Amino acid sequence: MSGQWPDADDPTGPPGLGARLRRQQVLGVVLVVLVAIVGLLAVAALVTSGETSDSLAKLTVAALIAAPVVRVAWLAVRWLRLGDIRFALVSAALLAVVGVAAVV
Amino acid sequence: MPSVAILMALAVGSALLGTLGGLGGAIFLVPALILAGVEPVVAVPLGAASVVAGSLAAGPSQLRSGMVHHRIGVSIEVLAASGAIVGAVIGNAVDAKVLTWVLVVVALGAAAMAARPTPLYNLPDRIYDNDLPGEWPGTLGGTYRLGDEAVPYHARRVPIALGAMSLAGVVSGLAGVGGGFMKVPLMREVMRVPIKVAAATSTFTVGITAAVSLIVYSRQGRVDAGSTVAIVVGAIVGGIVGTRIASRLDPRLMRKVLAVLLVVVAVILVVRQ
Repeated sequence: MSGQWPDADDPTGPPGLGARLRRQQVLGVVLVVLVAIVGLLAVAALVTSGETSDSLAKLTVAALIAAPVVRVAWLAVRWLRLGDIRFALVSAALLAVVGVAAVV
Repeated sequence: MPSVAILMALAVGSALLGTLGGLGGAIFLVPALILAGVEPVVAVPLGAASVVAGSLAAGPSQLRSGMVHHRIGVSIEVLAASGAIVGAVIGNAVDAKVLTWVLVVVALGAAAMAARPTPLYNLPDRIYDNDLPGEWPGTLGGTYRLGDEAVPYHARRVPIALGAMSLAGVVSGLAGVGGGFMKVPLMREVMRVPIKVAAATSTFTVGITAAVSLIVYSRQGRVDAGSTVAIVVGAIVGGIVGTRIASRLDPRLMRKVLAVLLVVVAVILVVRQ
């Protein structure tokens, strides 16, 4: 399983392979999109000037902070849907810690 | 503040080095920024930004590898992120010299961890050959592929590890580094998580720790957004290039070379003091 997505529809694969891989692929696409958004905002901030550059730079920092938080929130929702309540609550606790950081 | 070109070059170089050694780039970036004349109180948030960017850039490929244990990552992060808040608050209150000394200790600690051998605690078990590699739902265990074999593992001594992770978080918040050099050995030696899983999970978690620190730094007014974008672009480019080169190099040799480099960084910081 290194470097390539295994075939989610492989009938010889272990049971549950397809469903789990599809969930991972969705998260993988979300992460690629987040990298692209942060990268594009940062480059746009570098090539512009004045207030536009300042605004884009602040947006970049906001997107940078939001990216890992989005991933944790995605995991919390996924585990809640799977009935893995314990780890959904742990994720919620982590999101609460992020919230505390915003008011310290 | 150095020019955008210098900031990007420093970020690319440190992310490249950090990725090759599996240590994260901020451990090189923050001292390099201080040596370039940036105040520690400003260099630390730039280091944290590079950690988040590097973690984000590595995310898709590490997810494909199936090595990230999200449940372990989220569990340790509750404590590590809390520690990061404490570290970031303390870091804003202490003298620049104290922060530099913290970086010296962090660099030497990272060098010691990088130079350590990595024993194999988890052995393949044929019973799990047909299992889906990855984490087991509802637990802190799972399996990973070692060649054609499946290796099962289960996190041990979790309360001790969680306590130590909060300390890793404090160091991260204080110094603007990811803290992976502490988290990976803790996962490996205390929790007995396989090194590959620990490294991939650590890359996921350091992004959260650094993002939490970055929130606190922002509220303290320590984040220079204009410089941060140069660091972010450099860290993403360096991280992606480093990931491609890393697979062609001997990781043990690289870690030893980087351990020597980190000692050199620590010595230069001490001399500059």
